[in-house]
Amino acid sequence: MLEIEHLEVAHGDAVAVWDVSLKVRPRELVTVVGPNGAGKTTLIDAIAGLLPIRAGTVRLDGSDLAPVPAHEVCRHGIALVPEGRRLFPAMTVEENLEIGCYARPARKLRSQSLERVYATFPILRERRRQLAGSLSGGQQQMVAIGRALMACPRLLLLDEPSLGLAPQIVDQVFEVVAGIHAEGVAVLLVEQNIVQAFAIAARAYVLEQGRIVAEGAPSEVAQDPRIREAYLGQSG
Amino acid sequence: MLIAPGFFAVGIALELGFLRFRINELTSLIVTFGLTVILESLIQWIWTADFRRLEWPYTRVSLRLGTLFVGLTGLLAFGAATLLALGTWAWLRWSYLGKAARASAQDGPMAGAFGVNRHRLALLLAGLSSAYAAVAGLFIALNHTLAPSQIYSWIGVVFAAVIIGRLGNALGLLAASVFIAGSEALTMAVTAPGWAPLVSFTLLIVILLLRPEL
Amino acid sequence: MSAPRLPPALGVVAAGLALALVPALKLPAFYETFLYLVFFWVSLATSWNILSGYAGYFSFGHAAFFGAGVYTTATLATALDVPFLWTLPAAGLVAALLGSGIAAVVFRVHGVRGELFGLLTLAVTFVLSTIALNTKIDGGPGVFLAAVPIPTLFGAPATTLYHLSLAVAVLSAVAALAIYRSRWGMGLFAIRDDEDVAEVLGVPTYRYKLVAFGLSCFIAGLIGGIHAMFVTYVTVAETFSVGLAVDAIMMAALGGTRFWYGPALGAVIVTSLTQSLTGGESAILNRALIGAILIVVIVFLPDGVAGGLRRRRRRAAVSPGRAAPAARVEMPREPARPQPAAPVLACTDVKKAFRGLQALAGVTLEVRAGEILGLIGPNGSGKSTLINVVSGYYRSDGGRIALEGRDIARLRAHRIAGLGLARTYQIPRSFRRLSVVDNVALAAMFGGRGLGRESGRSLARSWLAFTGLEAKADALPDELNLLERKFLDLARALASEPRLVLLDEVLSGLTLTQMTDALALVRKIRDRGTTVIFVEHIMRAVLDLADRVVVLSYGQVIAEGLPRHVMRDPGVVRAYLGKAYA
Repeated sequence: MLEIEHLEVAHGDAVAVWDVSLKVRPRELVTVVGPNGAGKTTLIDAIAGLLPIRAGTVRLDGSDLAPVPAHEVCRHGIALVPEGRRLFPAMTVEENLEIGCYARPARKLRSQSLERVYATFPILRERRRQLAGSLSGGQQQMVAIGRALMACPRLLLLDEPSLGLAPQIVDQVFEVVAGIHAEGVAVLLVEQNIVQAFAIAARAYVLEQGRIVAEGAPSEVAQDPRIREAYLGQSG
Repeated sequence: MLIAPGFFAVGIALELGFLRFRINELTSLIVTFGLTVILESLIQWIWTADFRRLEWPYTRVSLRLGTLFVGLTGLLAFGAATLLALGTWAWLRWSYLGKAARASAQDGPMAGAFGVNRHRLALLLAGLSSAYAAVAGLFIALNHTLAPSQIYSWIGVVFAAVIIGRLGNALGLLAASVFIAGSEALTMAVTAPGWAPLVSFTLLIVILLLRPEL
Repeated sequence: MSAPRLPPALGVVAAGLALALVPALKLPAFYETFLYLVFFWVSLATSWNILSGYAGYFSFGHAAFFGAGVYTTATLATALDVPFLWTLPAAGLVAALLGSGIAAVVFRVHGVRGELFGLLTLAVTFVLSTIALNTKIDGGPGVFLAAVPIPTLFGAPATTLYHLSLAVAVLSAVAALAIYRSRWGMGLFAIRDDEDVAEVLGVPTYRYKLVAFGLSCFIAGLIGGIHAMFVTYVTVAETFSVGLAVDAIMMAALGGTRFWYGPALGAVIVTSLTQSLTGGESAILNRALIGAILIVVIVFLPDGVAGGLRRRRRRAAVSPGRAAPAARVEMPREPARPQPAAPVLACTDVKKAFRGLQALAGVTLEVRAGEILGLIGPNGSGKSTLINVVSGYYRSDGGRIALEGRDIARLRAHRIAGLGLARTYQIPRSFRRLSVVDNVALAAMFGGRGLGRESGRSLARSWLAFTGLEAKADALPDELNLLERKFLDLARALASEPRLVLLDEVLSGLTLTQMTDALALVRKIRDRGTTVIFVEHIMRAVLDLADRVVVLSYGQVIAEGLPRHVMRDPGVVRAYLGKAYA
């Protein structure tokens, strides 16, 4: 479904992602792990159209995403839950969710989507008129995920959902992600937290300093010494 | 009734120009001043520098409300302003485009990620602001005498209202404008008329100093 | 070195002297009037530029201070019968005091920059005009000055005014030039590019802006007083007109706000154009033409006409092979500093919270003199927050931070910088409009030692040699690649001779070869006796470079020691990889 080949992305003249190739099949949950600074956010932003691609291809169901401008990417069925949530703080929870279905195709399904989001996150229904900026970290993460769901995506991009959250909340978040996946949405999950990510993923990639250094089933990759190397330098 | 759409187009053209040449805020200010100078000259050339008055049949009509006499044109101006402010507020609050505008102001790229075409939105807003200014100009023409030199005296009032009303809140803007006009009128009634601008601008200065975060 | 040029100051004075002789030519009055206008606008535009162009604080209230000068002269000369010449210094002083008073209050407020300052100054114009209009200063009908005698120094009274305005114009040009060339001017330019960084480097921003504004208002007041006599009848509407301020701004912008002669150039161009296009109907349209010219120039030449000229000259000068390599300046050989017993930096239980998130939950660590300490931890562990708190960008909520024994927890960023702490930023923040050598010179000039401009520059060159950038000394930061810009940041941090340098992810974005160069440079820095703390993610680099490592997780120190040991510590492994691995 999502095919990335030899991707290269740079910030100005600083290359952040080199020669990255990965695949996400329909309904699959794939995770990309790596230490911070590895280029995970750059990778996700490039797929979502927020960063320009310097080289390589990003294809969704065969069509090239590179020439698609950022505001049209979500029409192709990709929705983003960005690093740090990035909600609209001066707007209410419900308004944030509504922006999620701004694109015309999703707009028609507004009421149903809203119902589904509130069913998944009952606490948001209670706080629908509260300003997003006043919510706790975990609640904000739920709004961010809900906002992405409102776009009725076929592929969900999640960028470090566990960042800055207390361990119990992280558990909840990952449960939700697993649940979304169970309903048939493909997920590309980028994470620093290996344990949680490997628990729910079907396949894993390890990104270090902009390059893929390992890939395979989570159980195999977990044993790979290269993962320790990536996170801790040469050790062991 | 051609004025509003006409200026809408002017606003869009201007914004397109700014985007194309990648002009930053301060430079755009200078460009706008340049345009003001050009327009001032053109107006003077076409209509001469004399004071003029736009007359329409209702100029001298006054309505009676209790013990007060209210000029009709003034009332119309106030009514139009209120309508526009309320309409803008409602549009921002409830329409998709309005929400998109608010979201873009808070986190542009994220709004874009969910389908908001920010380029077109910027053009739309530029056009709207021009159109609103044109409408204001129309009412100024109806209520005051005009001369090319008058152009600059309005800049201060506009800025003051926007700052006091906290850039971005349509209702706040309306309240602020009423407040400014009210304080000016009150000052005029209590002391000599000339002191009126002093009040509003002193208020502006004080507010800017106490709360510069916008 | 290009061919020796006439020192500009001399040029200005020479031009002034030459112009002073013009009345002797007995030309038609038109010429004297025209030149008077030129001097008038040169004074206004140049004085405006001193604060607004150099430091970037666009003032729209120049008319207010001009008007203050006008009415001071008008009032003193008519109501108090003060001889005209004596009113002039008074006019200048009143304007200057007014401006300084306002600035003293306004510049204290941290958030007032850019457009806000513009609006504030605009408001001042309206306030002053209202006061003038409603009090005995003017009262409405204006002030007649025709009866005031003007001393005849060189013939007709009009000639006196000519010479007076010429003097003010020369004064303003010389002042602009002198400031441009001085430490003060460099500080103002730095303020325009990045006021926060300038402050951290030790530039006394408040004082510099205040005096610049005061001087600018003084000159405006002076020319105002002269102009009062020139027109002989002053009204509030004509004097306190926003249009006047706008015209001055446009002239400065047209000529180029970054140059000392830019506003003067713009004033000459516009005044000449205005005069040459008089006659018939086109008189009115010529202002439209000027407006159009301004727009065209400013769009294609954002630095004005002077900027365009400068660019042409640079392109000619910067051709490969032409620059002779500067003689390698030897760095002042520092005697090896005796290692003090106390640690260079000691943090005790430092806390910092942001709206509910406890970024630092009690950090205790020590940095010993002469070591390279690596600060690592997973994302969100508080590394950057710690750097920001230590350098004074954020205030800590609790705990003690001691730099060589001195408590710095409550000090502001520029004081801490002055005590010997320097930092770099993850994304290099250079002063974009200053050349590479000036970027570093600024730090040398305003850092601990307080050097003058020339010695600052030569010290800067030696630091550039240290970091390998000497060939690019005269380039602008935008012309450097990423590694070079990081080295520029480093050179700037080092130029203030800090005891401790904080490096925030200096390796991010670099290629492998570039990283090797960067690591070598960091070692060189330590070998000179400077202590280094660096925050990094790239573990291989940390293992390679650090003498000791401190690991943060959730805002607390969870391990410290030799890199190899720390990396195997089960707590650290757990923090990074999770429970399954420990």
